[in-house]
Amino acid sequence: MHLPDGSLSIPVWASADALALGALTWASSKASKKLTDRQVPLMGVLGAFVFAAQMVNFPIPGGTSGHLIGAVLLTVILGPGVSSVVMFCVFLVQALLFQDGGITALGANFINMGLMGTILGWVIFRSISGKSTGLRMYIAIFLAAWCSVELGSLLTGLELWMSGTAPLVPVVVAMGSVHALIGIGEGLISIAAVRFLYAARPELLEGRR
Amino acid sequence: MKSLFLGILLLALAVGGGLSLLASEAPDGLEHTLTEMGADEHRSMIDSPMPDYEIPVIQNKWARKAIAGASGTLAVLGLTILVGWSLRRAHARSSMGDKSASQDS
Repeated sequence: MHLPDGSLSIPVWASADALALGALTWASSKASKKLTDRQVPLMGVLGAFVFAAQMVNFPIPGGTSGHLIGAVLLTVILGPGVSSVVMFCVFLVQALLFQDGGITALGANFINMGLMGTILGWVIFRSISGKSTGLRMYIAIFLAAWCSVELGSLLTGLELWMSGTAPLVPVVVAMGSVHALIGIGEGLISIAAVRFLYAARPELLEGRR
Repeated sequence: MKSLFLGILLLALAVGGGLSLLASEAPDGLEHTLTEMGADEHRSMIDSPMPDYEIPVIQNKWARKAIAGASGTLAVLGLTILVGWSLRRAHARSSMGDKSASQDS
């Protein structure tokens, strides 16, 4: 779901970049207060894993494909501030080294795929899971992951419409219907990742506190 | 804890430099939508060393993808650790003398 250069109009990508910069500043300051020594290597290896997993497109009925975004699994483990910083690092490397996502659209991509999971997904996760570490926590992870992908895709559609790239109803319907399926993959992989870490080291789930 | 972190990193390298070779070649949801809307003609503003997760100078079609994927995985590892370490240091400097501030809250 990485928007390339040229898909957004200048006012849209410029305001998204400004908004993203503000959010990144907030996230960095929050992260610097919350980060523990142990979390620095953890954010490194989890960022590396999310980047790698984003390369693995799985097929979706209808001739398209989707891949993990990973923002919700990061926010459950690292909390919203640190996970936002990690997601930005992933998008920056993708845009600079791999031409995946435009450099002008970096802010929009960070909002659509990063913040929709690390902030909105975190709010959904926290409000559903409560203090649970059992089934309810995993249901919360699935719903947060699914909603982050679906709402992120609708937001992407809106940005394309605001940019004059696509008509409103068709683009929102097309994005929303494909990503309703991709979101299921996001939910399942997020559950598996958190379950693995929670079984190995339950105290690592910073986002639970 | 070290072995867990190393395990996650090895998994990431196996996914980025191995499993990713089996990824679906079908366009993703956004690419498909842009094609449907007739808006799929875009020129990147910058030239990247590994466009589309391939290293152009390597001939072997598996190696060009595997090495690109593994390099990107390590690049993200390095960048996030550097950023995380800088944030830790910045905070430690701003709250000097207040030892409890750097503790997990």
